[in-house]
Amino acid sequence: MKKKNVIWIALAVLMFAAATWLMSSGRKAPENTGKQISFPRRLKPDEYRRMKARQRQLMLRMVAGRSDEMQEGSQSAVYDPMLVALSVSEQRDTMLIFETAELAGSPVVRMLINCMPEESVQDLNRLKEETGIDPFENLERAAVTGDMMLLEGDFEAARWENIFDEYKSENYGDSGVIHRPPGGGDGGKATETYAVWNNEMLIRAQDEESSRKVIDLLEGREEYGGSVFEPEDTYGQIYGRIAVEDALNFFPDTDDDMAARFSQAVDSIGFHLDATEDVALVADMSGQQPEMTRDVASSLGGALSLARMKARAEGQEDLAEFLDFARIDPDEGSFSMELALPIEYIRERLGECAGE
Amino acid sequence: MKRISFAAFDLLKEAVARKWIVAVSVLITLMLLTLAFFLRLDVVDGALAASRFFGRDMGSDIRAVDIELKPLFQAAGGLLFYSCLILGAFITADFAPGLLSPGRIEHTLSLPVKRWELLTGMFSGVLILVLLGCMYAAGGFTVILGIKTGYWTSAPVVTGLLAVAAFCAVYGPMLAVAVFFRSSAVSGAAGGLIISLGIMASYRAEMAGMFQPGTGRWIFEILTAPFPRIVKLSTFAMNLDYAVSTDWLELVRLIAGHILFGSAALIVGILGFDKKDF
Repeated sequence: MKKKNVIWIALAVLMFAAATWLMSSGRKAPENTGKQISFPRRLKPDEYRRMKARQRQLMLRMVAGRSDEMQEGSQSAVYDPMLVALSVSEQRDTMLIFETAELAGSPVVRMLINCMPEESVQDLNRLKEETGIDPFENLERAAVTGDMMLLEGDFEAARWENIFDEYKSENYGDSGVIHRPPGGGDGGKATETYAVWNNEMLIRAQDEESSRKVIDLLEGREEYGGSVFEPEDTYGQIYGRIAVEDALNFFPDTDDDMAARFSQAVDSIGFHLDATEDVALVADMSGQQPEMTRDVASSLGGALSLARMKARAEGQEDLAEFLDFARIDPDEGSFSMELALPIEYIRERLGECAGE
Repeated sequence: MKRISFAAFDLLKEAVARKWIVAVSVLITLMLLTLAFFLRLDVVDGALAASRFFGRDMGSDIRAVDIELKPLFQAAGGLLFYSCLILGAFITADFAPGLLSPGRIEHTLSLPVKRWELLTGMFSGVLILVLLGCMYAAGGFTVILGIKTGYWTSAPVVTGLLAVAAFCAVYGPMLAVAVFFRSSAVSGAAGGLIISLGIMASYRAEMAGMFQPGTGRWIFEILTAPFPRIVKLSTFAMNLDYAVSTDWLELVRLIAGHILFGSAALIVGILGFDKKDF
């Protein structure tokens, strides 16, 4: 065999060997699809079971004519006590409901707890010892409206005497206790009243009358005008609705023209936040004028896109990544907005304390 | 170098005369014109507000144009990559057998050009031809979507370049086989076989698990190891612009591996060509 041929053969073998080595690293190629986020759109099976478990037999006094199914007079049926209690609130344009027990178990909250400073952990333990309530164990759900706050959970071990030691307490109705503030209502002093119902619901209301009203309603002495929030809409870990003006307060940098158009076009904002894995938010907005709503949806989509581009250009990668998942889904007279924070992103931002 | 360029240029002249090349050029042009005239994209402040194709609503989500168009770019990237390999193998299968055919090769060899230069020139000519086709399709796609949306990305062009790197690994063996058999059918079949083996090699780790540990698995792993990782490279090509963190080292290794594989096969062809008595 000629020497030249040997060189060619050796070169070919060497190149095949090098190619084999280069292509056999065993490292994976990038994922074919991007990160998929599961947005809260309807009750998941667990949430349906949760909804059903909360409904129980209550004897309520119905107001006539609210719906075909409701008849005047006392009527026993299954209701979610907290949703019933919320109907007493008069400022419920903004109404937030927190599934505190589920939130406590969610990855993002667990990471935040891991990252809590030692002082805060000690404060939490002190609170638990003094009140007998462990926020992570005993609290099931919390609701906030403009004039009322409700906490639901297992308060059998609560030390009410410690919590309301300066309050005047009196039993009310079958299972209620009213805690009046000292000197409440006199000379501009605090009128906020607390009430506990059945050792499962703590009610903070603007005045004593509202507290009594909640207990009366739950025990069938006050007329019930119907649910202010449908049980089928109780999906996610934080949900409810926000008044348009309250929503705009979250975005103080919004220009006046956009804010004015938004206020005109949107009447109500319902939202659901899911934190079972990633943090995913869906806000449903609707208005009376379809064309104006569509116009606002387009502008909002553009604003989100511009904000993302600006963040990218200014090197604000955190904000840009957050806005990567922003999406507007327009419909006739309404639109929904999706925003998400992937759990990996939160873990990365929190650093080592978040754990694996 | 000059003589290699001459051989490459000769092949390109030959290619232009082929009807297949004209047909593919027309097909790419028609696809680009369809996109240009029938795809309507409504962009508001960098967000894609509405998209219509042939007047039909293609989804009404409003979101950043690059994110909304990501699936389109990925699909186009995949189409470009595999079209380049499959159509490329199909169209170029008869180039080398034609140039090496009796009567013609004797004339070519009478020119002042060495045999290895001739084969290297043919190899380079085919790659230039495929590169031009890919750049025409990818560049046209980028320009049309860029004008319509204001979003400019080099991703399709880079995908085209990666497709050419993959085709290098396919055409090297095709050319070597053409030297030995001088048959466009056999050359095309070799291309098809390399693409198939390349797909298999991309999944060799998963497939090896189907074999019992021992000699059978070992033989399978040895046999599939040298072949190009076509699917892996195509995955890079389709996600290049979008992956959160591209493994650049792995990508460079893959590109180099494909080019080396094709070049090694070319050397085998050159060895065979040297021994042929025309």
